[in-house]
Amino acid sequence: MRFRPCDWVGEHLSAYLDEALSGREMRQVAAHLITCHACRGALDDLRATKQALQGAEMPRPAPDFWPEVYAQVRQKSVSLPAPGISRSTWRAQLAGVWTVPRALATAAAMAAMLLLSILTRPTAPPASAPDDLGEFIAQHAQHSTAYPLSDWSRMMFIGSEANAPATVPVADESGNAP
Amino acid sequence: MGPRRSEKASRSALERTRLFEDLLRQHEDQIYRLAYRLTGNRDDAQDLIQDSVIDALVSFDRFCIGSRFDRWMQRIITNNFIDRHRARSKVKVESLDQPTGSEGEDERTLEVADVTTDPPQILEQRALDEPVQRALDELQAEYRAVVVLSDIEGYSYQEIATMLRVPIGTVRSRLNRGRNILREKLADYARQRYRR
Ligand SMILES: [Zn+2]
Repeated sequence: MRFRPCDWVGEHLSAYLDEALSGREMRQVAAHLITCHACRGALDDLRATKQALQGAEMPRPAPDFWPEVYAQVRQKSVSLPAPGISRSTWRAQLAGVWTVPRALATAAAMAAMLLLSILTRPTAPPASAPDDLGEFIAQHAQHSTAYPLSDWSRMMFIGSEANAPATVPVADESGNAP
Repeated sequence: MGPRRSEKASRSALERTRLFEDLLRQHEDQIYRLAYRLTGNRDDAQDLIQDSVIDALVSFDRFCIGSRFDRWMQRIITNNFIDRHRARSKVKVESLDQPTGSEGEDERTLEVADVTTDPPQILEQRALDEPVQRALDELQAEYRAVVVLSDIEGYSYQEIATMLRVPIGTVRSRLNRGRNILREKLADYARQRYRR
């Protein structure tokens, strides 16, 4: 036997069951249910149907199913961009236009800096050798800031024989001429 | 700078995979139950999960850690299921006139014959749930999804509406329609077991 609920109530029985109608609608349906056998029967069947669904058992997959899923996850993870890296950067990395050239570029930049430091390294005291040590040190500091990599050669310069004349004027000033 | 950076990146990629797996492990049962009740059989359920898990992994960076992973996963599964069904029902229309019943019967008979190797618990469960699952299988995908999400998974109307990106009124009417179709199909079974 199948119950055929009345139109309006029939459309609201399911929500009535879930108490998901407005207060006014809940009361309207309830009032109708008191007098209507078909709607009451339909509601009871609906409730039993919901319970049959709720009582459905937990189905189980094949025993090797989840291990396969995790293996798949690990395999897929390898090809995914690292977290926090934008997709375009990642694609560029995958295409090899980023990692390798970057390493090359770093090496090239270092070589260029070294070359620059060699080229710009003063092979002799600055053309106009400072007359006093204070000024020389100031110049050295300035130069070292501008060409940090040449600092080592500057230090060698300071301690070298070539540097000797620069100190001579100091001795000169003291009046002890050679 | 380069190597340290990529090392850091691969470590966080490992952490991500680890976290994803742990969250998945935590919710295997609900995930499988939803997929099974939607598709109605083990093979399709497993297919649906495999595809959905990969989809989830790919967009895992967009998952808000601390929000509910099971719901996020179930959302992906449900939407994939509905999409697949839409694609499939286009093909189905052409073969509507051909009797597909016998094919299904054969499969079912085969499955039942195979049951002897399964643990007794599963055998019993299949016998218990057969009518419910068969009735669900006959519902259109959109109705089936709403009924399963509501009555098996326990989602609220609002949650289902958000999940399927439809108005709450649509959830209400689909649920009403789906449940009433089931009511007609399952009346005797349900009355016998659940009606006082
Ligand atoms: Zn009525």
